[in-house]
Amino acid sequence: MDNKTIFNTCRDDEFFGRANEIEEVCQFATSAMKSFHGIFLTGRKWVGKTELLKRVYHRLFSEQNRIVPIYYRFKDTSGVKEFADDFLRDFIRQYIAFLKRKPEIMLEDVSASKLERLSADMGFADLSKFFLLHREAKKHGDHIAVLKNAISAPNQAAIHNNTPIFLMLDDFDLAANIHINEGDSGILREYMKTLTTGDVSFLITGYTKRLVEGEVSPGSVKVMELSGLDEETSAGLMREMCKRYSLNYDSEILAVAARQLEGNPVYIKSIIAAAKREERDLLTIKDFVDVYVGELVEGSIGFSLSSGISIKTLNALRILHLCISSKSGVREEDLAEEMALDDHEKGNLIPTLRELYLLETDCGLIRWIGDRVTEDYINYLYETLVMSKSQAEAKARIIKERLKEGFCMQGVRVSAEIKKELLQLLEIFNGQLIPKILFRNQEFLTKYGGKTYGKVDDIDIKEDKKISLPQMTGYFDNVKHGYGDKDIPIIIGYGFNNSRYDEENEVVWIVGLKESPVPFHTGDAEGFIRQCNAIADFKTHNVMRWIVSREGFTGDALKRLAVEGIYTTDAVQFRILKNLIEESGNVDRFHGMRELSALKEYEIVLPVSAKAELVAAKAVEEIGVNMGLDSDTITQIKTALVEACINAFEHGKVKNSKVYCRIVASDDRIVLYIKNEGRDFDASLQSNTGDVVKLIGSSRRGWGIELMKQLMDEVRFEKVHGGTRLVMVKYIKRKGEEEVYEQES
Amino acid sequence: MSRNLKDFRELNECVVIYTDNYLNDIEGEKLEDKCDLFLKRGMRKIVIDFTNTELVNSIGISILVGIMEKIRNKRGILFFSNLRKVNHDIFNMLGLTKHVQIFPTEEEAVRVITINDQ
Repeated sequence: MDNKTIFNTCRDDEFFGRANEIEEVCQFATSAMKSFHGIFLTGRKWVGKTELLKRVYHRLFSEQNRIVPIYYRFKDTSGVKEFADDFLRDFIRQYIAFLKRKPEIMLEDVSASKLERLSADMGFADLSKFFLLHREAKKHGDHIAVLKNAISAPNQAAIHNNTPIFLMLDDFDLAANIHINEGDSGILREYMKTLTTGDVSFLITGYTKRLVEGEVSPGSVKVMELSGLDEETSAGLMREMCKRYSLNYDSEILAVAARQLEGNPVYIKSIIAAAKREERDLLTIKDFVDVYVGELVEGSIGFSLSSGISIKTLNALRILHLCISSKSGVREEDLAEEMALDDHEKGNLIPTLRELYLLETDCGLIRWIGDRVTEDYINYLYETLVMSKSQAEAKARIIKERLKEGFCMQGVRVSAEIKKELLQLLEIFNGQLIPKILFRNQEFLTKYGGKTYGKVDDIDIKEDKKISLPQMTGYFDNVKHGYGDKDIPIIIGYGFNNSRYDEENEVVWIVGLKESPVPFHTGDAEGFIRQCNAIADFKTHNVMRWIVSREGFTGDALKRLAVEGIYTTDAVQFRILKNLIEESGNVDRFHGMRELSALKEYEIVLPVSAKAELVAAKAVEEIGVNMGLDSDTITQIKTALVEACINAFEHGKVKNSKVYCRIVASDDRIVLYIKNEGRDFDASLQSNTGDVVKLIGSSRRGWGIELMKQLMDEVRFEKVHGGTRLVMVKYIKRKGEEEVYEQES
Repeated sequence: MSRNLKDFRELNECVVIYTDNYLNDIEGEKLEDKCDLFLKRGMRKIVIDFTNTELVNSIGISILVGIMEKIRNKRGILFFSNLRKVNHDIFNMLGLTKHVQIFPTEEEAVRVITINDQ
């Protein structure tokens, strides 16, 4: 028998994001050394506590045979006898089923007397005493004995049979509703005492952390708080369900839904199931809100809430509505005065609502603690029952509010993503060739107009005109100049074109980002141009200006920006741009011409001795051959490296000093770093050019620097910790590159 | 051309001296000593053949310049032969090619130097 049928669980592909919690509980259950007695798993209604416990049970049942897992879910029963009957029967069944490896025992609906016989037949005669005591105590009306016999049974069985037990008590807070005598505070306290003083490790679940406060000694119970699934996991769950139900969806809309539903798996599943029933795709906010409000008012969510939250008076609704409206909480006295509550109502209503875990009282303030969906449900009830509005009107109000909020949520989310992605993108700008149209919104709209943000995968950009991105060396938010009320945020990036680090190729990108869900208009354009002028104290003439606007641009703004030569990109272009850059990789300058090769680094340490430089030369030769360089280029690099090494030897005045060579080979260049341990390189050496023969006689040295400069594309000295290092770069030019590469500036 | 077992070849009117794989200070000074020796023996026509030389460094070049000066002072003739392209480019860049004739082969250098009267 499949152990998963012991307790019904949801489909595996609908169970997301709880792997860590299950692992933690299982580890606690099976560990021999425990630093606390038990776990209190707390979380809102329908957040997935029961599902988690059932999955823990299945794991413990099937993956080990040492710890006996026992799962019991409290029912909303008020009698201690009913509870004890039920608990004892569940416990004995599960106990025997596990030890005999017969899960089918758990599925049979057996009476207590039959179970008693079964216990004896299967060699668990000691368990019969629990039934015997139970019968005797009931017979004599001794409810305390009935309770104690039941709740102490796991502990006694564990000791008697030397079989450790892990007891999982779901909805444990309902124990407060089980009374020995009418009007008492329930059995929760007594049960908690039994749990924390016994030898059985346990897990209890409940809605609020306060359940265990004051009932247990500090540190004896670990509190685990189970919150809703995070946004990504929730959206993943929704995507899986949409795919299974063949529903079309937009990922952004699912993200908005995930937020509204606060990651509650029950709500999420209800919404997707309702969309399936109504054959409604989830492509727009309106799609989601329509399905959501339908579920809330007339669907399974509304039904679950109405059965879970029993609101018996209009005053209770008024109190809840007032607390929802007041974000900071309402003073108890003010509430009583505003609602004109008499002492009786005040003494009953608020505690009742607290017990429903909708309100909490903290420092004299009463606050709403329910979730957003329950909030909508209460508001709906308030509108219809208190304000006497029609159901249609109340629904329309919720739809309107949720649409506004959803739109705002979507805007915030998309813009936050764009800003984050923009910064990530600037970081990997590295000479990629990108279709120019992705920086020209007007042209893009003409050619590919009508595509939405979520549909960029459908767009196949086939453009001959390309621009080369710079290699970005750093960027920052333009916080120095601050943002005026109407100014858009600006990011400034520094870099170099053509992978050449000289003044001619130095470039600055000023990037404006319009985050609000309103198109970039002429006022924004003028503001951006003004901002650019205000910060235009760069040392380079190559200043590129680029606007990224989530909602695109007005026609007039596009004209104005085109006159100024400012790049324009909307969210759709941006997404394509991002995909292209990520696909091309951040080191592929000439994509499509050859495969990417990884950056390779080599380090050689040379002693100052005769011909030691040849070791470095041999190494760089091997590297060059591996890179596929021609022999002339290799000899040029070798000669330059030899020259650099002997220069370093000459200036290394430390006894037994060494020269460090680092060779970095990438797809388009080879970079040599040479550093010694002595004095700085003499970077000021006269660079002799022309006819050296005329100069000979004064010194045999001095040609080295010029030699290196002639052989390499870049030669520079860099100040580093402990001196100076020489850096030489040779760019690898391959046939045909120049024809493809077009630099726009 | 294979490397000569001897690092020079004497002909009637000239001598061909073969350089090492790496023309640095040590090899440069050896080359200079040889040139001095032949000059002392009255040999005025010298061909330096770079067939074996892959690498040169700036000290080696300086020594070469010194050799050029000495031969010129003795009214001798100095030719280079078999220079690799990279080394030819380096010599050209540093102006050596203005003061010394360079031939693609040793034979051509020898042929020209033997008919050449200073």
